[in-house]
This record gives sequence, structure tokens and C-alpha cells, in this order.
Amino acid sequence: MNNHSDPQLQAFLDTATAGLGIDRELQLDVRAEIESHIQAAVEQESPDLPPDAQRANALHQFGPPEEIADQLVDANRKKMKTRARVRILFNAVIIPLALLVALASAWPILSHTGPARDFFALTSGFSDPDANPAGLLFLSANTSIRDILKLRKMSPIQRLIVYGDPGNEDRLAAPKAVWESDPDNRVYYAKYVLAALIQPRNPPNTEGADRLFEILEHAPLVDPDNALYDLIRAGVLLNNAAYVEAETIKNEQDGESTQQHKLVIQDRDQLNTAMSHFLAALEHPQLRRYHGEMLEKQLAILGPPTSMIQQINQISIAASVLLPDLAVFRELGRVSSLYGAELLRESRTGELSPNSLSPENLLHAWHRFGRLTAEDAFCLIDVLVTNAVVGFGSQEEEKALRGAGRIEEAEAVREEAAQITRTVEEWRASLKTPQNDEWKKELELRAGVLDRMLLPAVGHPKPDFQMDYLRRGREMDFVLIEKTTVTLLIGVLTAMMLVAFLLSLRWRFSSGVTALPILLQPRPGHMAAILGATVLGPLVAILFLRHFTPLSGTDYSIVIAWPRIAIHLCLLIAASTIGLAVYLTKYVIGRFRVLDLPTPMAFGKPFQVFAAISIGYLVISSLLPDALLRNGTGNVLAGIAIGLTALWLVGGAIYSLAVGLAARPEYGLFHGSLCRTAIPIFALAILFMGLVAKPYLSTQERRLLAWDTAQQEMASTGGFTALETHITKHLRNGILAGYEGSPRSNSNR
Amino acid sequence: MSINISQEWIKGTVVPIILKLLAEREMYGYEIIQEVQQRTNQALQWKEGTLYPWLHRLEGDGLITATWSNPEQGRKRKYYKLTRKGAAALHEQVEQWSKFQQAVSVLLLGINPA
Repeated sequence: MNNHSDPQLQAFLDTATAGLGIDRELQLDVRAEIESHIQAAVEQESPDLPPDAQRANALHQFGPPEEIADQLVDANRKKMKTRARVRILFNAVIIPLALLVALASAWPILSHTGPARDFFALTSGFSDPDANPAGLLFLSANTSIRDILKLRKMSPIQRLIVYGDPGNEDRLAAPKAVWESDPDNRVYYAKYVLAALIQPRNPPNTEGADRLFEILEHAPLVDPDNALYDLIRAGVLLNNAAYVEAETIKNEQDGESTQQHKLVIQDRDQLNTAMSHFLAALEHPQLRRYHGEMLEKQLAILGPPTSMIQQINQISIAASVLLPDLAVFRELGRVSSLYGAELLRESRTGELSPNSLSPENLLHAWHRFGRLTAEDAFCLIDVLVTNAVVGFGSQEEEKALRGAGRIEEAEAVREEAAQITRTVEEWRASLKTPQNDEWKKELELRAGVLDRMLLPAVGHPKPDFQMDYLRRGREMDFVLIEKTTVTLLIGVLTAMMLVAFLLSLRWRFSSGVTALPILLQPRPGHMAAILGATVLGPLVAILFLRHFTPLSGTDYSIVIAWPRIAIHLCLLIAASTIGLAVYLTKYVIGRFRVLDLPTPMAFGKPFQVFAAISIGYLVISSLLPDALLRNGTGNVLAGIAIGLTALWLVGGAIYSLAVGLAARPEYGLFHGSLCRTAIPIFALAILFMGLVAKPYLSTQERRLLAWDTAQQEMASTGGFTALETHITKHLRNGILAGYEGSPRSNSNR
Repeated sequence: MSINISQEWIKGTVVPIILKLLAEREMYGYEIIQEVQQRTNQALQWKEGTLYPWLHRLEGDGLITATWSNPEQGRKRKYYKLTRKGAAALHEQVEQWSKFQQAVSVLLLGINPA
């Protein structure tokens, strides 16, 4: 019996299911069921009867369609109500919520103006974010709206304190405004002065230097005991007064090269003035640059980091602390020593003003100067500059004393300097040991990105350093990559949802399609199966795998483990996009066949074979042991995975659009219904990613931040990492201990 | 011999009968009709169309579930099977029927309940 061309049967079915029209899928389902019954009844009729009679009997046995229609409505009322509520829930809540979640996730990436861009420019150190698109994408994918709103919550002064005013051509405007908000604040004043020092260090009598001197007039009132301001004045006066020329001399006997330094005097009067300020500075009880205090203030405004982006922000703030003073100190240290030596050589006395000291004072200034800078050492480079000042100054003093025949004094200077610089020299020597080389190799293999950047310079840690510290940094990298992938997936799924919406409209309004696309509503179990197999399952599996070390790749840094990471993420991306689309299509095809609606051909054999191979390849390669994935084999396997995924994504997109836009009109109902049915499922996938996966990863991020002891204790201890802080403290204390043992610890003579 | 049983009596037994049959195995609608007729020796002749509202009602109440057979493997049919809730309901209904039947038999047929 050809049911579709049987008008009597169709009319019967139309009447029997008329009351269910409000739920098209349900109506068609019941219709198909009744039709199946009629067919079975017809088959039981006597074969001697003509088809019309067989059908008439079957219909008669079934009963009056009007009666059945009422009963069917009554029996399905509850179901129709529930299904209607679900549709309303999706249309009114789930889909809009999914769009909001997608927007919240994508906004930092999409927004190239306003707070997001400011945030990136300020926090990443990218003065031009567009110059580093990959970095911008990574940062923005891991930035939440909360991070950006935190920026907005700052007061104008707080923002100036933390970030300055990079868009302002006048670089002194921000530090000036901060100081003027609290004119007695020594920290803000010091920042203002140092910012003025950053300007090209012009000779005096130029606008830049004049402005600086004007600012320095406030020093005696604001911070009278601080040596900093006399040192800065001396440094600026040194411009065009004198400079140090270095010449490398090779010893022809042993081939060793040494550097010889020579002072070139351009303006002796100005040099004398500079030196008098320098020596006056050394009379102050302390040298305070307040870098640590200012950084502490900045970080207090930001609050403890709750995301990696915030921590990167804080690290970049710390890293961007400018230390123009160090160049001044270094130059003053060298010039004073060389000038003192020259004066001694020429036995010229009385060159300086009445209150100044003898050439010996200049020669020995390194001793007091080194102590002042050591006491104020803020970070590792401070310590190293202090050590250089002590080393250079002591060598020049020793040389000058030997040249003057004062051998015993020269020896005393040498011993004293050796005592002071011992700790730093020992540490320096340790950087060249095989143990340090092993440490560097270990960092290459197992350190996270930030640790790889920050730790090599500090040398091998103490034996009690727990290698577990490195694991946290590594895990953080994995978490951030997963978070980035989830963010991008949200974007892709949103795009798929929007395209599905547009295509459903296209088929709705296109000519030749006589019925509204049907919204198929899979049962909860079906829905769970679709999402579980394509989105939830792979995502949960990959997040779970990260905790299972043999298959997670987390034993190694992401640089080493990248093949496994790439394969995992390819599997996730392929499953969540193409896998979801294919699974959904299969579901709709199955449903349409049950409902007796025109359906295009299902996926052909070649497609199914290729899909099985691709999935199989991705699953198997993701479970391979580290030994196979760590070398060149891993690169090849990962390359294949990436190529396969890209092929599926691009091919899938092109095919879907081609089919969706140019399919035959008789299949318009199918394509429109597929698109319409896909929308709520994509919405659920987006919600899962945005409200479950991403927050879970953020929780992991916070947990790792709290445990990542290699990345903590910044301003108050002066370093970026606990290791660097430890090394800085150790070296600084070593220098000061060397001073304590020195017979001339508090004297300039 | 066929006996015309009142529709009122039949209505009261449709649910337990459906549940009982589905407890044995999953069946589609027409098959249920055929089973009832065969096992009762045509004594119970349900109106075929009225079965489906009952099936849908029971499905809505969660006592049975339905699955379509694969249309590529022969004629498509919607099979129903009993859920756990349905099994519990069947048990209760059978107990009720047993007590009801005994009580009515005592009154109508004078059968001693002991």
C-alpha cells in the first residue's frame, strides 16, 4: 500500500491527529504510529479482498478518527504542556543565556576599543597590542570581564599609580599628579624625581635638566635625609663634564683580555661640582629610592592575583619598574674612583671646594657608596650594580695606592673588597658550574613558561628547593591553554549556532518549502547522549587526563609536551564541533525517517570510514606514552592531528554552508529542521563550556596560583619569584655582612 | 464463544493488562491488540484506536517508554516497554485486582473467600 498517495488514509490520519497540531513533532510521531498500525492491520486482512476494502476494514476496526482525536489530545495533554514549557525555557532562557555567556567570553577578544584594549596595553606591556596578535589573543582569551572591570574600579589617582599615563606625551604628568595628590609623600616624590631622570639626561642648562633641578628643590623639605637627590644632581651634572672610556687590552703572553678604563674630562669645573654633590650625598644617613615601597603600593591597589592574567599584569608592573638611578650610580662610582686616582697621581690637592674631601675621599667613596646602595637593594640587579661599584672602586683604589707606593693600604683595600664581594662572586661562579647547566636543562624540560623566563638568571636553587614547585608552573600553562581552547570553542559553537539560525530562517522563508522547520526535541536521555559523546565526554576526559600523569604530558613543560597537548585539543575541537554536527545530523535523519518525511541520503560509506579513521587516530594518538610523543615522532603525529582537524573544520564548514544554502527544495524541511533543532543543543554546549568548564579551569588556575610558591612575594621582598627574592636577600646580606667585618665600615676615610 | 463484555468493565482493566503484557516483553500497539484477543480467546475485543491514547497516557505517567525500531531494518514500529515505575504499578494493580475480584466473586457468585 502506497500510503502517501492514499488520500483516504491521509485524511483519516489528519483527522485523528488534528488536535496535536500545536506540537508538530508529536503530531507526526503519533501519525506515524497510527499509520504503522493501519499497515499491520491491512496485512492481516484477507488477501482475497481488494486493497481498498482491506484498508476500509482496517480503518473501521481502528475506530472513528474524531473520537480518537479527542482521546489523543487528552492523553497527550501533559506531554504537550511539558514539551511546550521546555521550548519556552530554551527560547526565553537557555538560548539568550548562551548568547550572553558567549558575549562575556568573547568580549575581551572582540573589543578593540575601550577598556579591553586599555587593559591589554597597560597590563601586557604592549604599547601597540596589534603588534603581537598571538599574544593579544592568548591574553584576551584568558581575560575575564571581571579583570577589566577591576581596572574601571580604580580611582584616577590609583590608575596613575599603578599604570601611569602611557598615552600622555608628557611623561612627567602622571608622577607629578600622583605626588601633588600627597605632597608630603616621600615615595611619590621619589617616583616623580626618577621619572624626570628618565628624560634624556641632558646637560645642565637645557630644559629637561632644568625641570629636574626645579623638582629637586623640594628634596630638602620632603626627604632631607635621603642621599638619592644629591646623587641624582651629581649624575646630571656629570653629563658633558666627564665620561669613562673603556679599552680592551689583550695580554700577548697568556692571551687574556682585560678592560682598561680611562676618564675623559670635558669640563673640570662642572666635574668638581658634580663630585662635591656626590660626596655630599654620601654624608646622608641613608639612600632610599622607594622602588619596593612603590611596587608594594601598586600591588596593594591591584589586590592579590586571582587569575594568571592578573599575575602577569603584576609581574609586568614589577618588571616595568624603571631603574634609571642605577645607570647614574654606576657612572658616579666609576667617575669618582677614576677622578680620585687621577688627582692622586697628579698630587693635585685643593681642587675641590673648601668643604670637600681629598682625592683619597673620592678614591674610597666606593666603600660608603656601596653600603648605601646595598642597604637599599630592591632586586637582583641592584645587588649586582652594588657589587660592580664596590669591585670597580676598590680595584681603582688599590691600583692608585700601589702606584703611590702604599702597598699595605692597597692590600687592605683588596682584602676588604674581597670580603664584601665574596658572596656575590661565589654565586657568580656557581652559575658556570655543571650543576647550573643541569639546572638549566631541567628548566627547559620541566619549567612553566614564566619560570623558564624568570628562573635561569638566578642560578641553581638550594638543595632544599622542591622540584614540585616547577610542576605548578607547568600545570598552570596547561590550564591556560585549556582555557584558551574552551574560549575559542565557545566562539566557534556560537558561530555555528548563529549560522544554524540564519539557515533555518532561509529555509523557512524560501520558496518551495511548504512547512515550517520542525523543532525536534530529543528526550533528555538522547540529549545527554548527543552532548556527552561530543562535548561533555571529550572535555571531561581531557580535564581528567591532566591529572593522570602518564597520559597528561604534565611531566614536561608545554614546550616539550606540545604534541600531546595539540592532539588532545584537536580531539576536543573535532568532537565538539564536527562530531556534534554529525551526531546531530544522524539523529535528525533517523527522526525524519521515522516521521516519514523526505530525507536526503545519510552519510555515505567513504565518509563513515574516514570519520572512523580520524576519530580512531586522534583517540589512539592521545593515549600514546610520553616516550613516543616527546621526540620527532610526536611532532609528526601532532602535525597529522592538526591537519586532520583543520580538514574536518574547513571541509565541514564549506559542505554545511553549501548544503544549507543550495540543497534541493524538497529537502528544505529537513535542512531547516536540522538547523532549528541544532540551536538549543549548541546553546547547551555553550552553557556547559562557559558555566562549567571555564569556571572549573579558573578554579584550577586560582588553586595553582595559591600553591605556586615560585611566583609569589613580590614587592615586599623585592623579587619576582621566591627564588630570586631568596637569592637577592642572600647576596645583599652577604655584602652587608662583609661590611660588618670591615675595619672601615662606617667611614669615608 | 464470544461474550460481549461491558466497555465499563474493559476500561478498568486496560491499564493492568497493558502493563502485564509489556512486563513479559516489549511490544508495539498492534501486537498488544493481537495478544489480548488471542489470549482471551476473543473475549476481550478492544477498540484498536483507543489503545493508543492509553499507551500515550501511560508513557506520560512514566510507566512505560517507547522506542521506534530502525526503519532500515524492516517496517518501522513503535515498541513499548515497562519501566521500573510501571513494574511497581503493575504489582500494585494486580494486588488490587485480586482483592477486587475476590470481593466481587463473593458477592456475585457466592464463592467462599476462604
